[in-house]
Amino acid sequence: MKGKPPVWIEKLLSRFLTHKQREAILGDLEEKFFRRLSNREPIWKVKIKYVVEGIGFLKMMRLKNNSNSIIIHDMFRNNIKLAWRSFLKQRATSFINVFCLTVAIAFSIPVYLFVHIELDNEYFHRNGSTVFLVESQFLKDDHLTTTGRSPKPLGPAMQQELPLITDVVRVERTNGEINLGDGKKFYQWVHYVDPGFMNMFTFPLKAGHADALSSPQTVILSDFAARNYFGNDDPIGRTFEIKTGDETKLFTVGGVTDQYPTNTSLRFFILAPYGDQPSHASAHDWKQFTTATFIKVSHASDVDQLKQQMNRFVVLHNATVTDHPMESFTFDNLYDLKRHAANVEEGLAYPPFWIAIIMMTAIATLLLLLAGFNFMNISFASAIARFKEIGVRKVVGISRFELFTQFMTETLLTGIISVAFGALLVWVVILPLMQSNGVRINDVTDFMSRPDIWFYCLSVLMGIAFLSGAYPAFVVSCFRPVVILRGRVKLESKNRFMQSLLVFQFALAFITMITCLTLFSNAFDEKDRFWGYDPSDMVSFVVKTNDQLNALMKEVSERPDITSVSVNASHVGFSYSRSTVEGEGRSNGVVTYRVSDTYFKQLDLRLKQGKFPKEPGFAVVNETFVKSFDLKDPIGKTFTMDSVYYVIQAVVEDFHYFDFQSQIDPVVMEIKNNVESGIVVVKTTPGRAENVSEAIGAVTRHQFPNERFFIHVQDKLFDDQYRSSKYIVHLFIFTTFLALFMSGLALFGLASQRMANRLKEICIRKIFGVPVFKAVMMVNGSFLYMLIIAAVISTPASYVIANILLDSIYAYHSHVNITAFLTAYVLMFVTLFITLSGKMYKVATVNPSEILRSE
Amino acid sequence: MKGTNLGEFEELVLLVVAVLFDEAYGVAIQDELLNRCDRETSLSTIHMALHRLEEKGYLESRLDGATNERGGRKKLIFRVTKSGQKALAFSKDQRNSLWNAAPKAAFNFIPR
Repeated sequence: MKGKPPVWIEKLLSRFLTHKQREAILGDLEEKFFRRLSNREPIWKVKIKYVVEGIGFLKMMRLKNNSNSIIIHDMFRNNIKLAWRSFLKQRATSFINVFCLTVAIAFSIPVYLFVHIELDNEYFHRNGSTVFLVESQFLKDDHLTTTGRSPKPLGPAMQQELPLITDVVRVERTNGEINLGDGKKFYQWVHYVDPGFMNMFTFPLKAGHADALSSPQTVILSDFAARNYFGNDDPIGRTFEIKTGDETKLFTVGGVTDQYPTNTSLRFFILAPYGDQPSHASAHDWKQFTTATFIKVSHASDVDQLKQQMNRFVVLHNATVTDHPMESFTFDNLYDLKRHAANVEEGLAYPPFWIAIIMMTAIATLLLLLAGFNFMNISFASAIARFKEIGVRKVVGISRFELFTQFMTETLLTGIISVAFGALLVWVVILPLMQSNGVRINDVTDFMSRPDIWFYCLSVLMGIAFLSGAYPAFVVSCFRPVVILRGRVKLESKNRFMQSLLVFQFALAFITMITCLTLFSNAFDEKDRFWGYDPSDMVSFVVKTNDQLNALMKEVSERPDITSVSVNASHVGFSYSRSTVEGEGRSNGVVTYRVSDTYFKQLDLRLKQGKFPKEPGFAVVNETFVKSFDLKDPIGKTFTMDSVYYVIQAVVEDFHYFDFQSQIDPVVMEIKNNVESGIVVVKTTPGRAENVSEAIGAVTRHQFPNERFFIHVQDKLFDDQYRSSKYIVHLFIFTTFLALFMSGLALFGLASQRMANRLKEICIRKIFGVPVFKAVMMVNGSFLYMLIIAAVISTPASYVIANILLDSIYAYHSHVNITAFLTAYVLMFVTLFITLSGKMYKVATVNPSEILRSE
Repeated sequence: MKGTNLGEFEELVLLVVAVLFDEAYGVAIQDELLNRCDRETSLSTIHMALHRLEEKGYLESRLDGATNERGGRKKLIFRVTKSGQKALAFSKDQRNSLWNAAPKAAFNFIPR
């Protein structure tokens, strides 16, 4: 077995050992390390022993420093010992603290990973800071638009003429048909790239050579593609055909990459040499664009200089075109691609998934806050229970600093244990669980070795320690021993402060719950929300040729359960295109659909004005269109779109042509009958959509075995959206109960302490005949008041927060409704009542003589 | 300060260094202590003792003999100095004289 001792011990020890000592000590440690290894001890055990022994040498630090450090060293050791003892002594509260913190941390780490990979999806490319994408800028409708595409000859030209550039890689991404023989076919992206691709970007190679792309007709496959194509066989040297456009070429596999983070904008299945793309003849044409041109420079600041030298290429491009001249070139760093994706057209990157980012971060933050305050309340309560100890120690002469550090050590210890548990839970349970459910946000294997995760855990730990530990430690260290030891005079005012903290915690719990319940009810509503058209009993499929259309139309027309058929160039909920409309002296971007005349009936759009047209040249627009052009009487008005005149013949109510998250834009639907290929939309008799979809699928498989058809049932088209909603719903339910649970635990801890403090008093009062109800209220009544105050405070706060969240996520959402609030209140009161009921019962039934007998 | 007096553990280490003669370095001393004296010690404890003994001038050290099993690092070989030998001898004499001074009766236990 092979193994290496952990390096950090060496680094740590080197800080204070002399050269001679270092040589001797590290040598000794290593000798033992290898001796243990050769004794066939498991590597992890050997490593742990090495670390423990190495840490033992920290005491050598004392040899060099002065005597003062010895005292501090001993103090810390004492503090740790004390903290550990009190941690074990107060088993129940320690458990509550650790549990709540662990859950909050275990939730927040995957959220961190998710957000990190959403925003910094290219982090694993080592050279990323000096790699830039060249973007082209055009003037469109009076404002500058940026596209990720760039002229094909730009890359080689830049490399030749600009010495600042060290490397250029062009990427051409197209759809390809991969034919493995034996009827095995895949339809996937093919990335045609320059040979420098594997140097510029950090994709780990599993087999083969990184320079495979230098030889023609040799490809590098992703691990995913290799497994799909060849199963477990060795893919190196295997051949297959790629058909892009009308051209088919034979390729040999020269390399396979290992798994890499899937969220990169450069995600690929097949990397093929740039020279092998079908339209390579046009590579010298400045009019032709390629998907992306990446450049690498020595220093990131070089691009400022480069920007000024780019004008010559703009001129070259503009010499070939007559309309829409290019304005300039600009550079975007690899790491920023995703964040800027929303402003770049046709870029490689997709914009980040803001909805999920905002939601997850909000929930994780609320949970962490909740756990932190819970911790603070409980540690405050336990500090107050230890007043006597503190008083005595102060009299004996402990300094404030020492007392402060002692309490901070206790907080830190709990924090460290929780963070360790949390990280362990994520590593061992949550990540593998997510992975097996297909959610890949991180590689389990590199989880513990990533410095940013350590940094994140450390900052959470510091946050917890200072939020929850610093104030109690400070207050405790401030007390004057005389006051403490004389009696509990000052306790009540401190109690009031503690109560307000508890109120704050309850309020946080309310806010968490109400926010979750609101988002929950919104996600739930979404399924029943009206799309603005009727998506039921509708099947659609794409046909590519007239032959296919005729064959399938024949099949479709023979079925009795089909009521109507239309063939359209685009279809609501499936595809749309964008254009610019000019009319009434202004121009606006619109969403356009080209559909046949029967389509409107099928979709059951809500007509507001006019009637649906039958001839080309007439258009149907939505209400937003009317508003955006400020039309008083829209019917009969004309506009131009792509230099064609249209007459508005009908106005329909706004409908959600894509999803509920996006804003509804102006829509123009124009008539285009008798298209030869496109999207066939079929309306069936009620409840038959599934059967029709299956029947069409069977026909296509039989008649066109080499083609792949996309057949959709309209209701199902949005299942993905619902499914993501469903995940979110689970998340909300989970968080709500977690918040409830944490509040319950906190209250339980506090109530136990309160009762222990006041049981004697209650017993004496009972002897004097206080009614049971009053006795119960004396112990628990204040909790009720606190809860009511918390509810009052949190109502407007959660209203605002829930609204902000909904607004930032959905363009269209249901209103924040009262049910969420009521549910939260009822749940909270019931839970807390159940939590307290045990204590209440004890107060009500306790026999005074039992308690008062012993003193 | 305790003067030139040797601590019990220090004395042991000093003696083991003498026993090992030119082979005395951390791990070897640890092994020897385990085998001969049945004392389990950590490397850091031994190095602390060695350091203190060297400071007192009872030991001298030199770097020597890199081997592969130590990751190519040299050993710090210790040897007892003249004053180390004196300290050992002094400590032994002291004990011997004390042993001799103690009357036999002191160790005569009557079984009860």
